[in-house]
Amino acid sequence: MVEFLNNWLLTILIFLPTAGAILVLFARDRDSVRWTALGTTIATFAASLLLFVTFKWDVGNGYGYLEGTGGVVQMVQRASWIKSFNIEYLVGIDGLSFPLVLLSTFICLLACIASWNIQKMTKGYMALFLFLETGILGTFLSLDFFLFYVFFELSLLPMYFLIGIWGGPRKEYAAIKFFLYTLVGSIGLLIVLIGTYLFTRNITGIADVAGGTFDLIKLARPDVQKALGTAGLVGGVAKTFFLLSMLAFLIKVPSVPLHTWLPDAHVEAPTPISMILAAILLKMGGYGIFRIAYPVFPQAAMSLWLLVGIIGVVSIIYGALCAMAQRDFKRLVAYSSVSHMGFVVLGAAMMTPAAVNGALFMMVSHGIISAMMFFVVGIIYDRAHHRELSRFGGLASTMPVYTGFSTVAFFANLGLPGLCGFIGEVMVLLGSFQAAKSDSLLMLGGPGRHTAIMTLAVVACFGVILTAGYMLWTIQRVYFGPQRPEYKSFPEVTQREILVLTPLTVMAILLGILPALFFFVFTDHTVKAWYGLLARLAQTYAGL
Amino acid sequence: MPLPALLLLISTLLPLAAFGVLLFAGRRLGNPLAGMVGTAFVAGSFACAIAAMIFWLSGGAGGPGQMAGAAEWGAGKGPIVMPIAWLPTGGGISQDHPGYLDVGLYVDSLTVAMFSMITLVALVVHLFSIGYMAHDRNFPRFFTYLSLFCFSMLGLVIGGTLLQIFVFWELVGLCSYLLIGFWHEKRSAANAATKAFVTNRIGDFGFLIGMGILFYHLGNVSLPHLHAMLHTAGLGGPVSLADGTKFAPGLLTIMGVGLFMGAMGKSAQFPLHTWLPDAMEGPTPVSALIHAATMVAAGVYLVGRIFPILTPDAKLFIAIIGCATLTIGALVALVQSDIKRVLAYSTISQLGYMMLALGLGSWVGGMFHLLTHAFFKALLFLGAGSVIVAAGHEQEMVRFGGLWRKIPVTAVTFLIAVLAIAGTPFFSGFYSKEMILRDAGAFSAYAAQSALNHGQSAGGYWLFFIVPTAVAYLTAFYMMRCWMLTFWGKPRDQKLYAHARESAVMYVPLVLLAVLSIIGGKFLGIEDLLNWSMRESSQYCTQLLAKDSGAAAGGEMKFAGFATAWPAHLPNEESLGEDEPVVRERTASQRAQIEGHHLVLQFAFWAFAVGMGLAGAVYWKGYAVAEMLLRIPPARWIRNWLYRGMYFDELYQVVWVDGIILGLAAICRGFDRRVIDGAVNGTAAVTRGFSGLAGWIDRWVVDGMVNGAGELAHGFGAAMRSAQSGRIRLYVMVLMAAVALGLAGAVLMALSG
Repeated sequence: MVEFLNNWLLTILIFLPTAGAILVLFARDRDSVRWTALGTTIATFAASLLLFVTFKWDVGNGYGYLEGTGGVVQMVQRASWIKSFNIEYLVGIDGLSFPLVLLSTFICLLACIASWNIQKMTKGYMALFLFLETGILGTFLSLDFFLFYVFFELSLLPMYFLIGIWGGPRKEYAAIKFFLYTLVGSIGLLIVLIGTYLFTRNITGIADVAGGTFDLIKLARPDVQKALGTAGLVGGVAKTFFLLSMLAFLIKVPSVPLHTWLPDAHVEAPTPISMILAAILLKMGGYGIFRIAYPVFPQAAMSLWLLVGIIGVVSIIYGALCAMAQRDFKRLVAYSSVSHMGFVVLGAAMMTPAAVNGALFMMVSHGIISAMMFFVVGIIYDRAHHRELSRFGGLASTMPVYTGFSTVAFFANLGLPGLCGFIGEVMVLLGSFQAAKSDSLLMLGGPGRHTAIMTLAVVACFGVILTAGYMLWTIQRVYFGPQRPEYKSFPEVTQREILVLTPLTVMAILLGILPALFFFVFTDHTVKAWYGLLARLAQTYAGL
Repeated sequence: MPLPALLLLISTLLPLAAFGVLLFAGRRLGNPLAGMVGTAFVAGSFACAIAAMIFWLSGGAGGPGQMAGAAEWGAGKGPIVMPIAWLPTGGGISQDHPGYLDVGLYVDSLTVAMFSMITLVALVVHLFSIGYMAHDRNFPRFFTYLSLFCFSMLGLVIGGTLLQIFVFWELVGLCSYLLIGFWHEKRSAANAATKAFVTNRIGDFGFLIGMGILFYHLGNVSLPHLHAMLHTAGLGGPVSLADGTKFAPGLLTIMGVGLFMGAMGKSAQFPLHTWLPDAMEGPTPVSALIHAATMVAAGVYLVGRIFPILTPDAKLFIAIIGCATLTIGALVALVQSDIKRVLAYSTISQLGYMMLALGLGSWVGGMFHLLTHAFFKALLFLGAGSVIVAAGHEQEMVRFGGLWRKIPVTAVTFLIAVLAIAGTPFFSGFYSKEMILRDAGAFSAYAAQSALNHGQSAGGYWLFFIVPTAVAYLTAFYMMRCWMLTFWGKPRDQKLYAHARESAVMYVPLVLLAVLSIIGGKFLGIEDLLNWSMRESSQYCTQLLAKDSGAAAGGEMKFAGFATAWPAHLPNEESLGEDEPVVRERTASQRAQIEGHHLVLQFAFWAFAVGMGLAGAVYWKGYAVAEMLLRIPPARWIRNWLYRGMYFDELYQVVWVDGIILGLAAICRGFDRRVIDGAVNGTAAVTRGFSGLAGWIDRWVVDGMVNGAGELAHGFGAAMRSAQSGRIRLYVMVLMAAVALGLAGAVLMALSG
């Protein structure tokens, strides 16, 4: 049984939602559509829980980032797909993808429950929804660059329709904007994909990459990296490739100044789609940075750290300031996503163990918090049919339970210790200071970087003030103040809504109090290997 | 686990349990059962703290966190240190868990003393609240928050690393936020809550930077390790670290000032003091517990904990801020008319005293005042609460007067607290304030003398004695004024006076605190505990040092943290004059201590009598004399300026909030809309224009050449149209089936092949 799971579980995970989507298409009435979809997301979530049985976080040698450090890629399933280009169907899981896979199945399940009140064309909605889940899981699980790209793009299509059809008044604009923005990034990624492959074809002397490879783990191997360098993937070319791939991922994250699709997409998207968009789709960008951009183009990453760092810090501050100026509740939450995902980018740029761990944690914690935030906004939109902050007030008296859940979400978002938002934030910030220490990877580039690193770290710290400012101001405007007559009749949160909010709240607290037990146990070995690999590659290139 | 640590842990967790119970069952328990449940848990907490104190005093040996051969803990022997790995952060030197950032317990005499004080005041406040909040419809919610606060505050005090202190630091901030905004329907309460939290966050910004700098150099923020590694920071030079790097004095100072910024927010130090008067929007028991006795003192506590690693410059900065704060607080308190605002500014002023003491190196003085102040200030607030209830929720002293006849217990206990805070001999406040002033005098004398010896002007140093001494007179004056206006003279509002009544539920807490306010100075042994605490820390750090580097260095390294107590750039003691044979045996700092003592006797001893006597004379007949004085225009101007809190609020609002932050936010929003989105939409428009042009060319010039693209666009449009008309199902089906089957088929084929 374990043997079978080891071989097939990931593939099953990826295509289970697709199977469910096909079933949904044959369902007769709305109820059976819903229950089929819910059953599928539950089954997928359950399947992902089986990973706990098979996933070993401490494996010695094998297929992974750095030999001998543990944290290797497991449950690998590999088959030749397009033979002439050495394209493989290659899936596997390690500490980088494990938390994100669980996050995805978890959030999809909750978003499915949140979709219960979708009235318009339920069948199409649910089918696309499940299909989207396949795209997401495929992205996180594929280790072949080409396969990654296919899934990365596949997740785009359903999202486009889900926003474009089930969205709000300006849905067409939002959907097309989302689509075109992401497409621009994708084109960059396609160039990188093909270009890198062409360089690998020129490698000689390494048997298992003969004839080129799309294998993302192999591409990062020190000997392959060295050979790639000799083959010409250095200097300007490497930097261009790095920047093009970062373009794709930073649009997805999204980072300033590539972020303006996000507020529009969120404002128009229906609540559950917003949850998925913020909680999971943005993470595909962050994941891409850690899986592709940094390990495959380490030299470029290390020389362009300042650019990435500045983008991260600007996103943190600029996103927070924009959030403060919003009048629409959902737009505010969207900008707060931009601000928080800035920490992920900053963590990548700083390349210290604490910052990288923090960035990976931030992705999961933001996944939970943002899903909760958007659901909270959705609840009040369902009742008030508007989202103007200035028209709210006094909801704490009308809906105390709802306010309780909202407060948890808001305080988790502003990084209150004890809730998950704090861990990622504080680790990235402390890790940024760590980068200024003379033995850090960045400081290999010379002592002159000290001031720049310190400056970025201090400016990023300033974000905590702004975040507290706009979050609390929002609480004050929406929940506090005298009760308003027009909202007096609002019903309290329903059972279904509590069913969505409770697991998110529980996870926010568990991750906040016991981050090691619920997160770092799974990631730590891989992160160490990943970090060790980058340190090794830094030397490889120093010797080149 | 050593017994005191276990007991204190239980003591910490009991309020958390109460929080859990009240969160889920509070409504069902209702009024007053919810309050009683909360009180019972806190009583348990208090009992544990006292038991821990008893076991602590007798001491013991063994247990985790103790180093081999030195496994003794207890009063004057050594602390109990129990680190727990929390966050994986990679590298670092001298850690309990390599590669991890720790949280964990740290128990020494200060911890034990703080626990007893916090749980006792919390218990008293809980009891008082059952009466005070009796008619509030959110009674259970109040006790839920209060329990969470007790847990957070105890977690802060037991914290052995800066990280844990920061975690609970934020949690007490949350509780403060929730309780200030307890009556959230009131706009002013909601505003005050937000203001308190955001102002504290400004301080936390510094805290984070301070922690970041420490972490970057040491990879570690646990208190004993910091003390051991950086104990020579007080000498003012660079500190050599175990890994061969040097911690520059400038960076050390920034670190110290950064951490102090956190303390400035929490302890309402100038210029971050403006949130505390507004925090009085919360229910009065909350003001007593959180905004007088415990949470606002957390900043002082933090500075006390990091004291050994502060550089002279950082200490000087702390002393200057403390000095400014105690002055501003007292001046503003002179003219307030709201009884709670008087107390709030008085708290600010007293916290300033504590900070000044720490800045000047009087560690015991600062912590001592923290503990005695907790009792009499809690008493003052609860007394004010009793007055407010009696007066039908009126807080303006303008409408009080003569209330002692109606509420005698409150009047007497309040007077005891006034005597204590004014520094009347034999009351608790006398001892701690005397110690601060004595050390301030000693510092000034010492610093001035050494400055003179070096041919520099010494005038500036004397301010550290003159200012707090002068403010001691003001303190006695404004507190007595508050008592006179409330309890003495003729009733100024007959209706209010007629209805005033004392509630029996509130007697017990008041009397209990009054007793503590009297005996807290001499008879509770607080001073001894504090002296032991210093010794414990020193001994533990000396052991740590011996373990880390002593063997390699070939000699025993001595912990120098508390010994390098004097701030500023003072020369060694030897260089001071040796001309006087009589006092030659004494060291310079001992001589300074003696001089400080003389100075206090000469200038400050009678401050209580002068201040209170003057206030008694001026306010004997209510506002009459004061109003006469206000006829003079400059007096009126000054009074108005002080009454509005020196216009700090207005200044911050205009410059920071409206001007800089909201201005920047608006600019960013505009930039986002106009520039970034403008560029995006512009690109789209240009592209569309081009494609239109291309289409025109296509149609009229090279007809049919790009038909493929046209068809694609057309198809796209059709799909979108059909989306509106319901044919989407078909479309989705086709799309899904195509992609899914294609992909799955390919995979399966590949796998089988």
